[in-house]
Amino acid sequence: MSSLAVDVLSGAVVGGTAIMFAGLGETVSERAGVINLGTEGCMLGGALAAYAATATSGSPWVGVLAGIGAGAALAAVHAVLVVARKANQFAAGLTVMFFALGLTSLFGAAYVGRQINSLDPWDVPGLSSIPWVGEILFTHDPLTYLSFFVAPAVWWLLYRSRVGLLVRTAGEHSEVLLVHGYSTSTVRYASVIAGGGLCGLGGAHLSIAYSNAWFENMTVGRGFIAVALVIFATWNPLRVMAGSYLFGAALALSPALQARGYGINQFALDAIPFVVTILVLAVLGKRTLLAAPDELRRVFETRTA
Amino acid sequence: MSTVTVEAPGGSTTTAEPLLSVTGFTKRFGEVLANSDVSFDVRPGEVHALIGENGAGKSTLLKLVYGMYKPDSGEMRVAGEKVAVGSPTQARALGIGMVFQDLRLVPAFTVTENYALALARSGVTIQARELSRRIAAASESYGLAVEPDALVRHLSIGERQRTEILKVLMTGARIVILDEPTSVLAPTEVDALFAMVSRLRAQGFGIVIVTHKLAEVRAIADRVTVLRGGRVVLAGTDPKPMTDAELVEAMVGQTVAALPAERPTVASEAPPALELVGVSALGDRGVTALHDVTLTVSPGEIVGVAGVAGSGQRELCEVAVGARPTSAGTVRVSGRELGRGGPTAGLTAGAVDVPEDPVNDAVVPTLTVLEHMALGHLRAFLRRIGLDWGRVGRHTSDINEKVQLRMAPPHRRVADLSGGNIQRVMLSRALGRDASLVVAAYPSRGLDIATTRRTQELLLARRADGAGLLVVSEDLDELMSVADRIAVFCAGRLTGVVPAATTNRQELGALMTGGVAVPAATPAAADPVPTAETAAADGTGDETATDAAAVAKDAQTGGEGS
Repeated sequence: MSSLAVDVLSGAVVGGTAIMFAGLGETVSERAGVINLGTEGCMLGGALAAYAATATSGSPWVGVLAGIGAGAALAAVHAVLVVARKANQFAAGLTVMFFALGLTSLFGAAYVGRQINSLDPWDVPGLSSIPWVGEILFTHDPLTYLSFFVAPAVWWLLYRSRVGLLVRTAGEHSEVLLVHGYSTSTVRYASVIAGGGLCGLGGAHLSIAYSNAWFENMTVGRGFIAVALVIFATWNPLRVMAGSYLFGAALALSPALQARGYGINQFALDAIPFVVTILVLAVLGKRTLLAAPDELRRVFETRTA
Repeated sequence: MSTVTVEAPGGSTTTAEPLLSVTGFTKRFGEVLANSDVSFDVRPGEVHALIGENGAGKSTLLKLVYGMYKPDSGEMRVAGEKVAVGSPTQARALGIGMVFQDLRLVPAFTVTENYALALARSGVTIQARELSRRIAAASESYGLAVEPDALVRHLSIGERQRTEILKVLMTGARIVILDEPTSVLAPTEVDALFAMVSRLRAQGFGIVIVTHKLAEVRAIADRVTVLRGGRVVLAGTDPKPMTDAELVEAMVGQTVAALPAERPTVASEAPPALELVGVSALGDRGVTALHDVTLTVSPGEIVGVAGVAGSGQRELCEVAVGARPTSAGTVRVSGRELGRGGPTAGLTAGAVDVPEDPVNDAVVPTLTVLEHMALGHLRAFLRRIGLDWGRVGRHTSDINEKVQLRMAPPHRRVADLSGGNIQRVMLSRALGRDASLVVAAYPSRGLDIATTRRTQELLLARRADGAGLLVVSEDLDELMSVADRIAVFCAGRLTGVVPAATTNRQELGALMTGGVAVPAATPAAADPVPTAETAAADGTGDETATDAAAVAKDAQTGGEGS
């Protein structure tokens, strides 16, 4: 039997992956100046689409693509509302979230209890036999391995690539884009939709690799945790990665303790990730907002007469 | 894409073919003729100043040249070739570079990243290292010190401006348009800017500088074009043989008489209009912003207040009208101690004010001009539990009659007014009433030359009526021409009170920096002859754009434009 620590840490990595994808997606969106509270909805959409596509096609990889597509499509709704129609970002995001919740409940009913050909854990040859580290990092499903690369890739794209520079400019000072002959709308559409795709990927991980099941509202707030995570990771993809493992650990604590027969109230354990969120936000407070992209800060501070 | 080359100094400024020439530009917005048959040109190796009051059509002309607007008629040539510029990108490709007043740099980015936005058009990465080397090389060859790896946020306004200018040069500009470049700069930074502009002129660039200030035209321009009401009233003329009065007349369209130099002493038995004894006060951040100030304003006296921005002027004004509690000392208005009475005590004692930042502090955007007139003196208009609106209306028209500041019609919502028009409401309200103390912060902010002059006359009229006035201004020339005495503040302390008639910029400058003597800067730029004309012209420039922007923003959030 492995130790509790290894169990929790290994659970943290696999459990945090969905939050990480969603957090990375939200980072891209917010870096371009658009806050998407519909993240939860994009995850749900991604989760159901991935599950349904896997069940129908038999291939989990088709499911992964469907999950990305569904997340992107829902985010596109948000993008139309806030970029083209200039709607309030908070209201639009929440609407998208509830829209997705209703939609997935409706169309997901048929898939509850269906068996699928899920993405199974695959031990990386050699690496997985390293004591401790091997079990924590290299005994997971392929999407978890993918996340190891996606987080640094998002960081590189944002901070080193030309496209990333445009995305960050849209979030910092969109007028500068205009002056240099770029379209802020295009950059924001692309960022929000790409971010939604990542959220959908997170949802797909949840349904076809982590839970191997679909049930109504299966994300249970992970999308909102991802939004909070982005804020206290100060919009930095690498910190989002680290933070998502913290939440993964909080999630993994409960099954690990139960497996060892500790009689702790299930509801108390389920509350841990949210308690962690509240504590972190309480400690950091307004400080986080100082690191926010300027245009995003304007969204937070908008005063409407 | 663009390469950095240093051109040989251009030929003689009189004979060279223009880098840019515009003939007969006309642009109409609805009923407004923003530009009417405007012609303008820039030669290599010259600085061409474009001056005019707000709304004279300078911005329209720039936007036409830079491809942000399309002219209704007229043609433009770049180096002799006829061109049609449809977008700023095309303008840049033609070698036209624009340095905007509110510099278009992203504060959170490094200088290199900002340049990448302007320069890198292809490739996956921005190739920061390579670009950083190019910036360093260009910085060296043009003689503009720019640090590629610095975060823009950490740069001073002057450094940012230099960064922006080098960026424009690196995009291949041969014509550099500077839109009111000095409006955001401190006096020493202005000198540095002009040194830089001179260097670019020597390197053969054509430079257009848009300004309100005659002193700057004198300091740097080879030629000057004056716009008024969308038309060219003075085309490409050498400013040197012209007097300031002639230039002002061209801008305003009428002669602006100098303020009377003679100030009769006003005899009064009344107690001092304002008496501060050992007053200290906390600023908004809870730190002491006013230290132990003792100052008296007599009836029939104007005391000017000078100081670097944020030296305690705001706190001083608020303390004087009771709007800010003191932490020590006593404040008396017309002999009545304000104590803890707040603004009500100030008003009752006879104090009125023109606030420093009316848009944020003193107006309710959704209320009308008339309602603001009532708000200013609510108690006088009470009728049982309501307000006597008829009386407010009569009072308002009386004031309009008396002050002649062309205030907006009473039914207009303040949210729809420009910064200058809001200022007119504030001034009319404060100067139209019979108050014993007038506290006016930056009275000429956002106003045109004629209105600035009218405001100064009103201040003097209130003085002649026996009121005491405390006038804060950033414009030393204005203070020297209006005030009897000038109180200078440095970091919240009163560093000296000097008679306005005998002081000079050097003395005031030394007091503003805490009494340390500062060496005189480049004479031409920093020390224009303080005639009434330059004072008037200067008054219009400083805060106009920022005020207008603030108002525009307010109008947007209010959901309605004008």
